[in-house]
Amino acid sequence: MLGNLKWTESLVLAAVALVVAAGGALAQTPEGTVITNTATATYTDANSNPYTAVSGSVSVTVGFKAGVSVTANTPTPSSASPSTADTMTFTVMNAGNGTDSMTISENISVAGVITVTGYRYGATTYGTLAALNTALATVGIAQGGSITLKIVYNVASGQGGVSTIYTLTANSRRTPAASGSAFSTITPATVYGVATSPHGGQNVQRLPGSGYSFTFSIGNNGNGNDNIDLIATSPGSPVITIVSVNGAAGDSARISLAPAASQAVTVVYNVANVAGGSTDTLYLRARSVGQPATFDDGFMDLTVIKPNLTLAKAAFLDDGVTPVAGSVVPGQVIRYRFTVTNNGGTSASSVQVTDALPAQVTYVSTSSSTGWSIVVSGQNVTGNYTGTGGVLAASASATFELRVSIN
Amino acid sequence: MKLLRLLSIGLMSAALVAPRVVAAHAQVPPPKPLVITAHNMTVATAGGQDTRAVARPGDVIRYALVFTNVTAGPVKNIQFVDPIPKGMIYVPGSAAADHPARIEYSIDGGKSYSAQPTIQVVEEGRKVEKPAPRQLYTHVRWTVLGSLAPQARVMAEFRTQVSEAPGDAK
Repeated sequence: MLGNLKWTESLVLAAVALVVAAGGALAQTPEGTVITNTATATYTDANSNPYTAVSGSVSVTVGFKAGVSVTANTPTPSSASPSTADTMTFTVMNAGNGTDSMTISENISVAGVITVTGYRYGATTYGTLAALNTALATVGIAQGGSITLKIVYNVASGQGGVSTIYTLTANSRRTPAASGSAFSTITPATVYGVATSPHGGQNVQRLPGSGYSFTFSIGNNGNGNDNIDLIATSPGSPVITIVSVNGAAGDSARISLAPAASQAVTVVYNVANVAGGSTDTLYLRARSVGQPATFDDGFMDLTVIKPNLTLAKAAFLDDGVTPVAGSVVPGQVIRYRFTVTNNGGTSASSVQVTDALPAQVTYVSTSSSTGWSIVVSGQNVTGNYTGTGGVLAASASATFELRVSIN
Repeated sequence: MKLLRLLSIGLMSAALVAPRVVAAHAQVPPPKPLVITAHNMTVATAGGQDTRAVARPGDVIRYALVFTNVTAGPVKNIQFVDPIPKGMIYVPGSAAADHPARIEYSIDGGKSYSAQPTIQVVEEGRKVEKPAPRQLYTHVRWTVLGSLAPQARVMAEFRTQVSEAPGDAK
């Protein structure tokens, strides 16, 4: 038959199936298979008389061809950071055409994330790869057969969100150049956590002024690197005005913190010139960028303080003890006593008293001026407080006294 | 075609049964009318030394069929038929001969032959003919044109690949 051969449709499916089989992952022709080729030849003589067919044959024995296939049964194992005794499994298949055994090796792409603690084959967990391979050296895997290996490992702390790839490679012991490998990617889940301190209790007292600073401590209590937004506020009061956060002008900034790390963050603020005793609170919120619902507020309580001076002026007889109670007569000498008292919450500086003496009296002398510098010019009296360094402490008083005569 | 250096691989041959066999010399055994040899081309190409009895899955084997006219007169209508061994897959285009010959193939176990076997498949609802995949080849046949003088030889050859899977080949 010389024409093209045509198959019927009924054979098509079988043909396609054969093609698929050829490209599939079927086991190879087994080692030791003897393939015999027998051919025949026919011929005739010059007169077209046929002769008995002759034949010949030759045999080929199939030798060993290694093949290794490794499958990661847990390509993305779930592991927390930290955690212990996590596992991932691999199946090592002998894809060669004869019995073989395997040598196992491994690679971990990012050091410090996981620590392999054991290699389980069958009912035994081996502590090292060397021990595992010693055991596997005597494990013959038939063609198409497989073994399952369980890798036991720990995950270090502070590794949230950090990926590492564990690759397991199996090499044929009969043909070491033949190998297969598969990998699992381990990414411990990230746990977010931030902490800000202090949480009040400082009783900070400030005069109205500019450029004050307060330092908070920000900590990353999560298990992975995180960016943290810092937001300063002083709600509900006109006392505090925020100038900068961690050196950045304005009321916000962002920092990056490694797990378990902390950083001091300074907030610079001004205090308005409001009444002494006014209070305000400076808040600093640390908020996880990775998980904004996670935040912590630290805060500082502040009270505005000011000195509060009162001046009392009293008249005494010249004995300096008896208050003037009745009338005085011309030529009589009396004393004016000036008493300055600081009733505020903080000291006062540059305390000065001025007085214009009545026209009916004439300055005679200064009877008491400890802590004061007194200047009298005509009827004008000026007293500058110079005691205790010129600073009149809170709750302190200072007094000077002048003698005058009645005109 | 210049013969390649062939390696003897489990060589066997059947005796010629013919009415006019050339009488062999007393000390020289008569030549065998059909000799088949196999040569592992993969090992040879790779520079390997041992191309004898062992072939691995995927290796290419070259088979050479040498027919010698051991009769006293010329012969004609010489025809080789070689079933592709189970476990082997024909290498398309590899069949050749050192004499003019018509080369045909069978994909139905030797019932019929064609120079270009095809199969019919259905694509998008239509029947179309496609070249038969090499896994379907079952036989190779050479029909030598012309006659062959006494003691002359004719060689046919083809190549196969050791199948990767037992079910690959017919």
